[in-house]
Amino acid sequence: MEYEIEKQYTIAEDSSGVLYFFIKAKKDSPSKPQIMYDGFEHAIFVRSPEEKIILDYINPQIRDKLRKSREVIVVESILDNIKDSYYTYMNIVDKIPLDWSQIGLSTWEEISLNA
Amino acid sequence: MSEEIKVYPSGEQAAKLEAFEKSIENGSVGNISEDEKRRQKELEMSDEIAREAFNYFKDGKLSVYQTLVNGMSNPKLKKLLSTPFMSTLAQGAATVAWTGAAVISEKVDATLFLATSGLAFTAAANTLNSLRKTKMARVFGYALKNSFKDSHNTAEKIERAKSIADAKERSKKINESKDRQQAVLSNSSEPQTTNKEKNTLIVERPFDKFMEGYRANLKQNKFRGGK
Repeated sequence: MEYEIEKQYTIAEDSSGVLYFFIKAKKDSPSKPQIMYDGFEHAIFVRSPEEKIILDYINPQIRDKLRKSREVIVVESILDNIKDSYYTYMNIVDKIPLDWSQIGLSTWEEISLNA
Repeated sequence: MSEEIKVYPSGEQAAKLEAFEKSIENGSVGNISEDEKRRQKELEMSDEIAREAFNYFKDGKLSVYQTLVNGMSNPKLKKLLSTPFMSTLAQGAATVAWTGAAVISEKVDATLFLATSGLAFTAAANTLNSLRKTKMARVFGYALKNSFKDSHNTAEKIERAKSIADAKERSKKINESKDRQQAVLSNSSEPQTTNKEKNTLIVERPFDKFMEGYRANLKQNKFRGGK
């Protein structure tokens, strides 16, 4: 299965605790979007059944809050313009069954040590 | 909504950037060796000594300066030299002169000199701040304005994104409820009220059924009396 890695994105939290994922704009519209997350390093954003994006290296400060969220808002933007914005269901799992090292991903700490 | 927005940069780039920032801050990342810890502690202590020394001399110099100003006979000059700007300027200049002299006479080490110079620079920056229209003040002002603009942009973007997502959610719910209604109507056991082929409305009523039966019976002469 082909995976796209987001590499650079931002998670923001507003005063009411709603979480926003600011990612780069993608082609077409999403269909039944959901984020699969296990509370660790990386998450999988299933934008549509055919399109899976890896949200790599989630900031450690927001992991716990993200794990407890029921849904988030994904904002697709091109520079400062919002292309699309939609609620996305959080599918929390025990462990994402993927060997991240096989696609060249490690941990936030490891990257910090090797930088 | 614009207040208290927290931003958490994520992704490989963010992880690397954070590591880079940490390495600038600490001089190293990850486990700090015992030697490094000791060195940092020594630096902190020398900073503290420098700060105390600076305060001591600053207070001393200021009181000397004030005594000098108070003793002046010219009221105009006295008033001018008593302004906060002039006193800060004098304080900064005296600190630089003192540290310079101390270094030349090898009374303090280089760290102490640097730390004290830093404090002298702060005093000079305060002076510049009082001159609001200096170039530096304009540069600082521009940077501050830009950082405010950035945070304002994020807040604005968040607000816009939420309203778009909310509107979508609302229309999705409306569509879902319409679909549900449609499904209920099509699955119901009630008689169909429309005839698509003829495109005419047929309404079945109990009385019509009764009349239909009556007419059929009439044809079969069921209601005729006699033999």
